[in-house]
Amino acid sequence: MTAFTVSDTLLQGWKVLIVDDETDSAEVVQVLLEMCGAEILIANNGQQGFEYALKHRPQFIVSDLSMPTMSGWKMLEKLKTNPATANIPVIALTAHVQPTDRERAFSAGFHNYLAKPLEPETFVVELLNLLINVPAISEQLNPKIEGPSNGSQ
Amino acid sequence: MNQPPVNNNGEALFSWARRSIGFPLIVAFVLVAMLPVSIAVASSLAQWDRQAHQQIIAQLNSVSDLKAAQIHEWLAEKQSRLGLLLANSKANADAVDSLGPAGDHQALAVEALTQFLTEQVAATDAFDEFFLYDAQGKIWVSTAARQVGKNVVAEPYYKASLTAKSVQSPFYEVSSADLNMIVSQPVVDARGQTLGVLAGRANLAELSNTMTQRSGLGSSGETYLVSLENNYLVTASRFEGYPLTQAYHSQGIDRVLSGQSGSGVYVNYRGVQAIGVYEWLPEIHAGLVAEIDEVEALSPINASRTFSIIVATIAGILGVALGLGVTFWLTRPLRDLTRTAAAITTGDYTQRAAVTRQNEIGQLAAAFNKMTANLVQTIDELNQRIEEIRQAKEAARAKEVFLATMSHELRTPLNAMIGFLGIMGMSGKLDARNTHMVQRTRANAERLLALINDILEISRLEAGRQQLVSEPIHIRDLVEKLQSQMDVLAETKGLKFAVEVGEEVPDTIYTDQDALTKMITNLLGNAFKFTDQGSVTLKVSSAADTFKIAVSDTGVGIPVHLHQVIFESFRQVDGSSTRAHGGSGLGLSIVHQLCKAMNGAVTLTSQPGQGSTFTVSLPLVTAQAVEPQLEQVV
Repeated sequence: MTAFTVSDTLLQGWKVLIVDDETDSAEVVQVLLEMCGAEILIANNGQQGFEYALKHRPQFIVSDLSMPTMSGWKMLEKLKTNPATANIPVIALTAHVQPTDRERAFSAGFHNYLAKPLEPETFVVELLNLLINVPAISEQLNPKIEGPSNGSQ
Repeated sequence: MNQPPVNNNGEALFSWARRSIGFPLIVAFVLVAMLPVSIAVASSLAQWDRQAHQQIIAQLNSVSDLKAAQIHEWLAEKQSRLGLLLANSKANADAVDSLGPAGDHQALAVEALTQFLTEQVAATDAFDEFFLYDAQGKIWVSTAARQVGKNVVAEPYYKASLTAKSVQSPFYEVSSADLNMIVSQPVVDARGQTLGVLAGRANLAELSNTMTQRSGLGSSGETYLVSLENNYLVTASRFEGYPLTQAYHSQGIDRVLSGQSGSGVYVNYRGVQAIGVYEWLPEIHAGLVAEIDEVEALSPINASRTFSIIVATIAGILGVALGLGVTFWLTRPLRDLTRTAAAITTGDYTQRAAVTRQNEIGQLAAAFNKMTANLVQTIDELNQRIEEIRQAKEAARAKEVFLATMSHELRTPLNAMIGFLGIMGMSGKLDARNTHMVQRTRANAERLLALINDILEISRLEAGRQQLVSEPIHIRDLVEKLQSQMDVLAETKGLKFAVEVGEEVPDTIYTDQDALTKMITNLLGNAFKFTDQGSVTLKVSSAADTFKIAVSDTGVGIPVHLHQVIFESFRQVDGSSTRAHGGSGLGLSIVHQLCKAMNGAVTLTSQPGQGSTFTVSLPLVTAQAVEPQLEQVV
């Protein structure tokens, strides 16, 4: 299914913003993405997340939903209303796993949704699969795609 | 007249009449009070009137009869007196001689007779004058000297007087310019030849005296004689201004002068409404009338009539007053009741109607109070129920929120644990022993996660919040996939794992794939968990409207008495086996709840030591559900 192979250089040169008040959770994602060569920015709440996004323009954002100071929902709203950040895809990564939470996340404008706890072995693949329909990401991934099934899903 | 004081406002009156039972009550009272009184008064008045008239007429008749008798007597006395004069031989001879041939003898006879007659006039009031005339009407002798020599041929009595004793009815005599009444008797000689007539002028004043005696006729009653000639009065009126010589008319006068006798109510000669009785007296050719003013005659009746009307009016007023009083008295508890009902309607349930009477209205008030009490009790009970439901809902919601929160809070550390453990495993820097420990730690973390998921799942199912869909699934593909997942486990435990799908089972079945998968997975997981040797079999079959999924094992089995409780949450065969076999104990419970939610059932056949078979039966749907209307048409 995947159009790419995970490697320590897959995300070379990428900036990824992780927004989570739980430093352990953030660190797990950080380590997994750094294993693929990405440059990681970590924000502890929505407000900080928004500021980093505006300042560093990451390729995508992985954000928790429930956070002090500013929630993931509020941050998404701010990102969407700002033209500079409106097109940055945001993946919700949350321990809220009620069926309604997923629907709420999509209708709020999150690009996609992943439930905690994540599967460390497959996390990166899952994450990038959710993002492959974003042209900017798909273009960056393409040169690294290997295998016969070029670009197809 | 019998209405309450709502003047100049008919609408208000109609409105009152419509809204209040007072109106019919008052009408009823007035009718009850007035009708009999009115009928009694009216009928007695009519009867009294008739009786009074009869009585008056009877009285007038008796008076009239008395007067007629008196007149008759008076007249007879006159005639007999005249007869007595002629019965006197000297007087008779003188009369004959007076009418004889002229000469000394005749002159002597005239002188003697005149003297005799004059003595007779003086001796009695019966006659004013006696006079004697011959067959040619010439007066030869008279007690009034001026009459002598006059002729009576023109007088009305002349002709009749020559043949028999006669009475000339009262008439207006031209010669005397007065009303007169002449009584006469022929004078006959020895040979029976009528020579002349001896006549007496009757004294009418005497008759008048007789007639004007009141005879108990009250202040307006009178009796009078009326003459056939010129309708003159013969006897004087009791009232001033009615001279004798004047034509008088009334129903009574006109009738009696046409010869009738009778009675009647009419306007009399004085222009006054009167009750009268009249009688024709042929011997004097005059009418006798007895009259009394109707007003006087009926005055006692009129007094009674007035009294009766006053009584009836008072009865009517009393009827209205009584009606109003009774209405007020009757409707007072109803008004109280209405007021109480209005108060209760506005939410004041402490109000109670006063039960002041034992009658129907009192019973109504008591029933109303009982109803209100029941109402209050019902409302209390309902409020209590609502509160209970509210609390239950709140508790359910609190439980759900708690579970959602706990789920979130448990997942967060598990996320870090599983994540770091995974990263450690991927690092490739652990030796075999450490790798094993990391794997075991990871497996336990996963088990914890499964437990959390099961708890969430069962609480959602028990709250009825599980949303199920009907989607087409390929049951053979699904079973194959599950088999490949479970093969690893079977191999690890050294168990035989067989899968059978009956030929009769359709390729496509409509059901909820997630739920079905979960049920099969749970049943298989359960079977593998409790089976240490032998086999596990998954068998899919179908009938007309159900399809069945049976999972059999050759494990420890379950005692019969536990077949029911096994599907309850957190149950395993015994507490100790929880530790021996692990697991949350929620798997079967989830299967049971999912079956219920999908209109199916799960059954168990098992003996301890003989293994178990769990069978899930679900409705078989092979086509998308059609519209209910179409279903009815088909």
